[in-house]
Amino acid sequence: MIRVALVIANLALLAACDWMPGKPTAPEINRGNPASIHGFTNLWNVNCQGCHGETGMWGAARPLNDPLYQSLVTDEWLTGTISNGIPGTLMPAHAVSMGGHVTDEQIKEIVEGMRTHWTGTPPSYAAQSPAIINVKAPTGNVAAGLVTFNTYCSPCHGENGVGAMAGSPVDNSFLALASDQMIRATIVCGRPDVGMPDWQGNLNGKPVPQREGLAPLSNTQIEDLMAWITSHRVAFPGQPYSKDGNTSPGF
Amino acid sequence: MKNPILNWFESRLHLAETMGPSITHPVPRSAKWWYVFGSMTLVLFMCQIVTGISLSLMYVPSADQAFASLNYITFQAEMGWFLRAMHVWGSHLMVAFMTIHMIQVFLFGAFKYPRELTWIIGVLLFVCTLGMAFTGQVLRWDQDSYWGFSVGMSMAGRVPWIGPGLVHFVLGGAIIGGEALTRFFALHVFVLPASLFGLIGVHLLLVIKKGINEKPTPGVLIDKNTYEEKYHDLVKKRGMPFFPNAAGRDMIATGLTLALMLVCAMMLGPSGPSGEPNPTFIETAPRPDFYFQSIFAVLALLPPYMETFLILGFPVLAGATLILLPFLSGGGEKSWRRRPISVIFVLALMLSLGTLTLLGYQSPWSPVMNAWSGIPTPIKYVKGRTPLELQGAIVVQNKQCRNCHMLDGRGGQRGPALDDVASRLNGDQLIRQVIQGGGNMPAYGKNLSPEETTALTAFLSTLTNEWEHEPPSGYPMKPRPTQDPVPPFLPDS
Repeated sequence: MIRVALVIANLALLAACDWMPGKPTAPEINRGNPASIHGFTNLWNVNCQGCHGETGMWGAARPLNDPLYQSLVTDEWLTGTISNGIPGTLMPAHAVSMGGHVTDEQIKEIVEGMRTHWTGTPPSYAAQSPAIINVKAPTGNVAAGLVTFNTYCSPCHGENGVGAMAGSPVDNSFLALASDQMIRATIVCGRPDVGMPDWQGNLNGKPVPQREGLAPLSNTQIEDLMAWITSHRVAFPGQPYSKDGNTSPGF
Repeated sequence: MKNPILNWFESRLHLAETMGPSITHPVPRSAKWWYVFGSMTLVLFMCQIVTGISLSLMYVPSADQAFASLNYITFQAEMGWFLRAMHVWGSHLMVAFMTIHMIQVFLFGAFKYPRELTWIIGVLLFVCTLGMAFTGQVLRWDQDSYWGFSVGMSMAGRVPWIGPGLVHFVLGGAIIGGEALTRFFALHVFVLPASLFGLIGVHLLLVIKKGINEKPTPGVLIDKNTYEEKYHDLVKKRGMPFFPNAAGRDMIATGLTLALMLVCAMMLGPSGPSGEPNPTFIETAPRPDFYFQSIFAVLALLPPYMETFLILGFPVLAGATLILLPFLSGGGEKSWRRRPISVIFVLALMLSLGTLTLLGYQSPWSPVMNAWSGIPTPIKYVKGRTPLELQGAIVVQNKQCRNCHMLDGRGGQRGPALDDVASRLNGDQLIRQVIQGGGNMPAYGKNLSPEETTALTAFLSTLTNEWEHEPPSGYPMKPRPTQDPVPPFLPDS
């Protein structure tokens, strides 16, 4: 009798094996296969958050989860930028055709995801904002740009761009790594995560005290600013030591 | 025998007459629970044969179908996953118990006179078992298997003179493909099992003919002239028949072994298949089964000048030492209580293997291949940074520094964490380290433009506990207000 019970117990145990914790649930066929990743969050986490931040903000690179910025860029421009990168900057090309490993279908998912997942409302003046894409090289007045800079930007970036709390935007190494488009987008949209106001002088919808009493930046002023800032580009950027002496970079 | 049918067979085969004395041969009364590991290994081998034959009914040993057939067995065939789990856990436990068996034999001095050949056959059995484990891992034909196989072949390719020819012979060509798989299939299901059967036969024959080693008594030395006579005297006067006395313990132990294997299979499941063996998937992190984790760790950690010795010399030296052990130390003291060097050796070996296996699982030397794009710059290192420093933070990501260096506890562990790098290196030293490399770090001078180097070192210079962004002297600016993000970021549905 005991033997029969043992046999039955063993058979029951074996029959129960199909529900045991060790049973694998899903094949890992696509482990390590970048083309198998889908869903905006997954794609963002794998490909974008390293530079642009986990939430699309507070990354080292441009915050993309910014309603004003999102309202000023088109799907085509975003697709082209993700696919081909921005030559001369640290934004790499991601498309498979460009040597990356994000498929066209995945890039489409990322662009659509940015539009549908980040539902912040752009400010009321978004439609009047200066363009930040498909803009020609700056044609403004350098001297007027310096005046504008010292009026609008110097409270944070220092007089003549020497630095201060927000650092210098005319450092030649920075300028060598930043495209005109990126500089223009930063002037127009600001960087709402790290505290830089937009062209209207607003930070996350509220005016900043440093721009109190100043009118919004005009198109001309932005052109002048672009001209003055980019005039600091040099032929051989990033030389840590001065030509005339062995001065330490002294960071 | 009362049964006429059994009598009919017995009168022709004489099995009871032949096997009877072997089954009931006297063994020392001191052979107790320490002596069950050999039987445990043997029963696992029998189990492997049964589960292996069952698996071979469904497994397709071709490069284009092996992976698919494994997925079929694991996810579609009724209880197929359990069959695979039993096979893999049988393999793991077989290696483990065989190792314990060898250690017990070593510490009890059972390899000494007159059982030298039993030991040598045992060493060959161990080598064949590891061969079964490795070839079985190759047959899994997933990413772990593919890359493990690649490493094995790279090591074989370094054998002087015959290396390249050997690799070509084993692979059946220049690349890892279908020819290699069928060769390993043949090895795994024909050559090695046949060798194991033959060696087990000789091993058991020797165990019966030379007897089971008595539990050694400290201070009693082996006298080759009188040992056998004394042993026979011992088992004749104070021994007990193998069956049922010693065999009873073996049966309990093997029953527990099978139960352990079943529980492991049920609770922990099979190993892999861990992903399509596609060499273009560079972001996979392949790793070997546990018994090769220590080798995995050694290969990753050993300094370059020791590679040739450890890859080529050590296996030969270890094999030769094991084979020659009975001849180097064939007499004298048997008891481990009087052989402190042997005990220390076993402890050191176990500690080393244990530590290396643990390191193998942690593999801190492996870069986190997707850290650069998948692990963001910590927000605290974005706050308050200048445009140049933020570009430097992007360089850290873009040039994949994060793959080897942690920031705020996330990233690779191959290099030191960078959170306080500025307290260790000044600006000049940072530039030198980045451009020229040093230690395990490669030189990045040719991969970074001057502006990238400047931005990178500017950012790294802010990574210290004491860092505070100081405005130029005399500048009246107060810190501006900043806000933490509250983004409308929704999880993926």
